[in-house]
Amino acid sequence: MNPSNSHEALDHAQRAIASARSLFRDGLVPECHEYMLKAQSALLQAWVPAAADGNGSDHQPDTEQALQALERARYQHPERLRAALTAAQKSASGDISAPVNPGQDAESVWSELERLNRFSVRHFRSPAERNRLRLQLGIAAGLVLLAVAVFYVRLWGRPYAHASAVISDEHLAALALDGLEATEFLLPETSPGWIDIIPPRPRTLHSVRLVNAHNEWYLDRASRKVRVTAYSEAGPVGSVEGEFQKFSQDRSVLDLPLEAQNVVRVRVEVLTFFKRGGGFAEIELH
Amino acid sequence: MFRDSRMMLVIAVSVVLCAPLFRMEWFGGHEGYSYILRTLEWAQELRAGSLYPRWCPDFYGGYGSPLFLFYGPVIYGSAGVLTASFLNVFTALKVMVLFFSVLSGAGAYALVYGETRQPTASFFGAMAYLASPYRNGNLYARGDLGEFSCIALLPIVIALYRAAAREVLPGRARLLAVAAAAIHGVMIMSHPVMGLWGTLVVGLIVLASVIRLWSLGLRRRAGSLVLAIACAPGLAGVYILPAMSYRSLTRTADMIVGFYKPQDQWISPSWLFGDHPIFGPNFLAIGHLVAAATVASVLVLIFNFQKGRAVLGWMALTFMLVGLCLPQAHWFWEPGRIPLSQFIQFPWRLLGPASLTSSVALGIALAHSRLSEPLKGALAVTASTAFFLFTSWPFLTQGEISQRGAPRDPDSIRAGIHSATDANEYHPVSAAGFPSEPRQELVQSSEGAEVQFSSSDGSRHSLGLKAERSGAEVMLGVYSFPGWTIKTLSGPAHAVLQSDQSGRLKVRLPVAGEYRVRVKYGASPAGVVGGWLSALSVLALLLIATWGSGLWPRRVPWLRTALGGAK
Repeated sequence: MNPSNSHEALDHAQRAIASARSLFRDGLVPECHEYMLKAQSALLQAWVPAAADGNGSDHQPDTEQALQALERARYQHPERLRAALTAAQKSASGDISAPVNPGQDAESVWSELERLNRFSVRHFRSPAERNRLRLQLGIAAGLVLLAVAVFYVRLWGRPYAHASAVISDEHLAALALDGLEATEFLLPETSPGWIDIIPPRPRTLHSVRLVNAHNEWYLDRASRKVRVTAYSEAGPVGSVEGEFQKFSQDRSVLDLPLEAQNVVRVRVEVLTFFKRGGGFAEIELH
Repeated sequence: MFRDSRMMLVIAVSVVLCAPLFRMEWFGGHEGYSYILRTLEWAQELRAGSLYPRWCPDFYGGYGSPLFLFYGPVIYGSAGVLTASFLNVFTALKVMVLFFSVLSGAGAYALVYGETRQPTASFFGAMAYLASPYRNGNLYARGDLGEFSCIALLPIVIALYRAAAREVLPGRARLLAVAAAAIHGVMIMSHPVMGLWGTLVVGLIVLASVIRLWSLGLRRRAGSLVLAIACAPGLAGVYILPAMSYRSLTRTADMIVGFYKPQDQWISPSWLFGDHPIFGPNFLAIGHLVAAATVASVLVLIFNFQKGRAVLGWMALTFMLVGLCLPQAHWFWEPGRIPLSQFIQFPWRLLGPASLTSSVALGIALAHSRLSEPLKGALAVTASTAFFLFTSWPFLTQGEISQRGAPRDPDSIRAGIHSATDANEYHPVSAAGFPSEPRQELVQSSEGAEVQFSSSDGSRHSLGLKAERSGAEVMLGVYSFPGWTIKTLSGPAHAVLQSDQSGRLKVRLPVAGEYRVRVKYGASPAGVVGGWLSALSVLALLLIATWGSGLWPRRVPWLRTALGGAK
């Protein structure tokens, strides 16, 4: 196979397919079939060995040599191609001025042509083109994997919270887990309540750190006496109670030791509170 | 096609049409905050590990609602993923609206381009669709994001089916058909009513393509197209089957009476051109678009019938769709005449597809008219862009509403009585009545049992119960509905889930002892069957896509014969 001849033949095949597509759109099936046969012929020409190019072979016709070349290139199911070539020969009429009769098997011929076209285009790609394509595919796959991983981690790789109730939409339960001590989860007015922390997967727990709320400049809400209970799938596996000593506008932390295995949920109950209600700035599981 | 500057302009305009949305906190459409609530619920269920949520656990004050079984999940499902991972719920929904707006512009452009192969005609067709009052009013005035996403997908679905019918390479044609079917399935799941009616429109268009292929002797090609479109509702089986099966278990009957009765929602022809007694701006005013398409079509038929005759089918579809909204079609919407047709509620929803078909006809007519050359100029494109933006503007300006008025997380939703619907249509009929206040605890009462602990994570509830006698019962503050299951993690016997007289869940403990049980909402029996139907449809589409490729070891002679090929 002469590479430049092969590429020329491939280009010719692509042009023939484009023409066939236009004719097919207009419902001119026999004319379309004619161009498809031209494309098929051009594709086979691309596979004819260089020695036989242009002047035919001394021993075998071009088609047979092309088929052998295809088999050597590990073209799958070459028998289908042979059958399609036979069908194509049948469908072509003897009179070159008359349109080709696609017969009943035009689809089989076109299917095989499409397969041959795909294989040929892939085979005759230059190493540089192949490398570029591989690089592009690799980058695309990497980006997709990265996006999937990031979404997975954001969706199911971090803890989330539910609360018995919240005072307002500015003080949601999620704010106790956002890593910002400036934002606070607050329970409704003068009522005890709880917040559930659900880790992404069952985990071992050693301690719980509670950072108390104070409600910004209003300075009217903070938790006082709290109970922390760890749950596994089977029920409670550990509980501890603690108490914040005083209301403070400054950072107020309560570390509670709590050893538990296979923890799927940690409930922090506010039993009593300072001033008008309870809440937390942050809850950390360790 | 995609690198054409006019295509880029169409995409830019589809973005610009969403710009007012990003300027507002939220917009005061007819739907209000309902999509916000649905998205929050979906996000919560997703975060709790449910890949396909079916239950809204915090609606009706925590008693729950099977809304996700019935209402098309695509828009709040996709926004739910963004809400659960990166964005706040308002931004997530806006991003999805932007996505579907761009998709509708690109889809309309691709559809007209496929019909005409002319970028200029495609540009005008796509712009006419993007600027159509119904499309924009559907978003800004109605706030029906589900229907907006559905009619955004419609052009791309039609474009792909048409491309499959016109593609000469069989493998590529099958891939296009499979892609069309897959997006068609998504379209059905985006809005149940318009998914159904959109499918009828798509079906008529595909039927025309199939007849053409058949008449050309390409029966196998026609067969694969029919198979592909048949798989589309099958793909949506996981959603459609439960929705159809359990419809009568909710108050969906309330959806088609009173204000929502289709027979009384006809439109006067004058409303297609002028003001509407209720809606202002009148998003039903697609009359100018239809008239322009009609005039252009008539002219092209007079002067260039041979090439312009393609407009006939599109205009026929347009007139049929518009005709169904007029008082003369009163008989068509008579209860019981056509199954499920009542659920359209407002026949004028068909003005969405009618806007598309008339835009396509306009594009085809322009492509084959003498105007196609003068309209190619930069000045004409710029002036028409300005014109379309100008005519769209009245439909883009709706009242802004504050984000503060909406619940921002599931706990806030549970603190009120929310249903995210107007007619409470997804309230289970077995429930005694609407709750007057939110339930405080999961366990409402018990007989002969002590509750050791209880916890909820969306529609998953864990309970530690101690039965003091055989046959003890624990009443839960959750509505009963097909799909609830109970699993006994430990205990002397298997706990049983039942429904009490007020239509709520009841856990029965057969013998005395300590139980750990998990109650959760999952796939209902119809959901399981629907899931299998979807899986089979996926398999069928995979077979269609790979048919005749190297993946198939040998041919199947009987199938070839059956599909019209030679033996």
